[in-house]
Amino acid sequence: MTKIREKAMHAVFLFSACIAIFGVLMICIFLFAEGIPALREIGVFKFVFGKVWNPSADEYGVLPMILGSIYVTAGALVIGVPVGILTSVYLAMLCPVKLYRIIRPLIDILAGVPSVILGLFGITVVVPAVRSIFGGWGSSILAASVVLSIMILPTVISVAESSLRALPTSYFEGALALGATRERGAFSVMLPAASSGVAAAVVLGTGRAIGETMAVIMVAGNQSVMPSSIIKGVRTLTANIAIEMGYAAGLHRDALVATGVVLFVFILLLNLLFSALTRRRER
Amino acid sequence: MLFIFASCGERNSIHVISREAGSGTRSSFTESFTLVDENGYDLTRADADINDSTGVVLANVSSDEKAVGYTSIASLSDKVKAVSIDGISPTAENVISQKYKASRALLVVVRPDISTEANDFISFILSPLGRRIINDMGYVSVPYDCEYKKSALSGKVTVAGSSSVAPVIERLAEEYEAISDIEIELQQSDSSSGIRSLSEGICDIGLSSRNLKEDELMLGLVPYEIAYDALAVIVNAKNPLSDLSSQQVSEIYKGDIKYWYEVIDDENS
Repeated sequence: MTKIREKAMHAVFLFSACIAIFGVLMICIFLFAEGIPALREIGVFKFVFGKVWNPSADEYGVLPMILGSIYVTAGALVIGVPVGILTSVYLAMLCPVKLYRIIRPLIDILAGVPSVILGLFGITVVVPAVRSIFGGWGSSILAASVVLSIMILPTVISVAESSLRALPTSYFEGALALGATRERGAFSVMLPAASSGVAAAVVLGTGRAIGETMAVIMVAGNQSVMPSSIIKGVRTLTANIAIEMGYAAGLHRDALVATGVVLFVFILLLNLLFSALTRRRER
Repeated sequence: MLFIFASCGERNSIHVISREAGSGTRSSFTESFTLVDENGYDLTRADADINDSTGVVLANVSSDEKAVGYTSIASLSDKVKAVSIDGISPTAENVISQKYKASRALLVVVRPDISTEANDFISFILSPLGRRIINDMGYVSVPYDCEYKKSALSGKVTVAGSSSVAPVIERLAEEYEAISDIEIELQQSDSSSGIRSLSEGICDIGLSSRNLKEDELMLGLVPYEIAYDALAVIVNAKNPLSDLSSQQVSEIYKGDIKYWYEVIDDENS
């Protein structure tokens, strides 16, 4: 009797695990089955390197959007990663316990802020600020990068902090015993020792930034033209799909699915990078 | 570095805000201001800011003195200024008298074999009470000789179609359901699919923000204009501009006019 129950429960657990795998597989199959015919019809090279996106004239080039996603994400990393890493070092090693009990929950709250709220914050605060400080129209790569950098902070901080905390305390104590200051111990011993975890934090943050849609649509301007300046507007891959999907039919719709394929390839590459990094840490 | 601050010199440039391609608001705007060529190709400048909702357009125009955008007159607020076009301001009177050109009719469409329940709702919409609700929302209602009498009917009426008409119907349905036992089910999509569902018998009433096409009329469908919605060209409240010609609006959106000094002369400011 117990044996049967044991077996039954085994099956239940296996089934649960399979649901997630099934989901991923279905998404892969759907994306590639729907997207590849469009890629073939438009031509992979013309699609990926085409500079003009104009569905009403049947021109589908996603290079502006690929660059858009890359620029916006890179901007978010330039702002978010240094702040995130410094914060994680502070939280893991230098911060007084009392202060930690205040900062940590606040970061968790930031992690839970819905992206549309960040978008609203962007449109009422960041966009006008960019406009008055740097000129231009406000809705821009810079505005989107600032909003995204806030969004990826909790991810970067949490993953980097936990990888710092996972190190043996003897590293830090040893550094102090050898006469290093706390700061020197943190930056010269701990941070390098946790480097693969910190890198993983950056990769996860990148994934979050490149996949974000709502907040970016609200602050980026969404012009499907080649980005020419960081205070000019840009459209990301995600925004391209979200804005046009509701109206698209025929080849236009397939081209949007193919845009999803491009985005999916980016995410896959990031995930491979992430698992390579974490595997290195485990070894 | 040149790349980064290349556009710092454009402080007086017009911040052109448009809606996403495919949006009903954008298509009626481009039609009203001759922004489509004979092949149906949209001539709006490719680097115009694309906002995907009315709310975002309003937020951007109200926060940027250099912005220009467009919206339904039902969504106008004090935070933005609607300019007059060729000297005619987008008011209800000018829309009714058809002096103000940039307007479109909002339609409800029914089949000839309309159910009595759907007919009851239609007569509510066309009644003086229905018209008052439409006017209160900022649209311009159309006068019909129709009295609504509360009936003893009950059941369900399915309404489907244009998301530009849906907010009006939603509001009307609230009032209607309060005095009637008929339940209104509203499904938002777009004009074409609303009309298609109507002809296929999936819904009782279709909503459209464009006139019916020849082949749709051939099916015997009956359209009622319930309201007019006009598109207002809006600028920031601090902008001295009060009037544009439709030619100027067209050139601004094509990118032929790029700076405010090209349209604001001394007379205006």
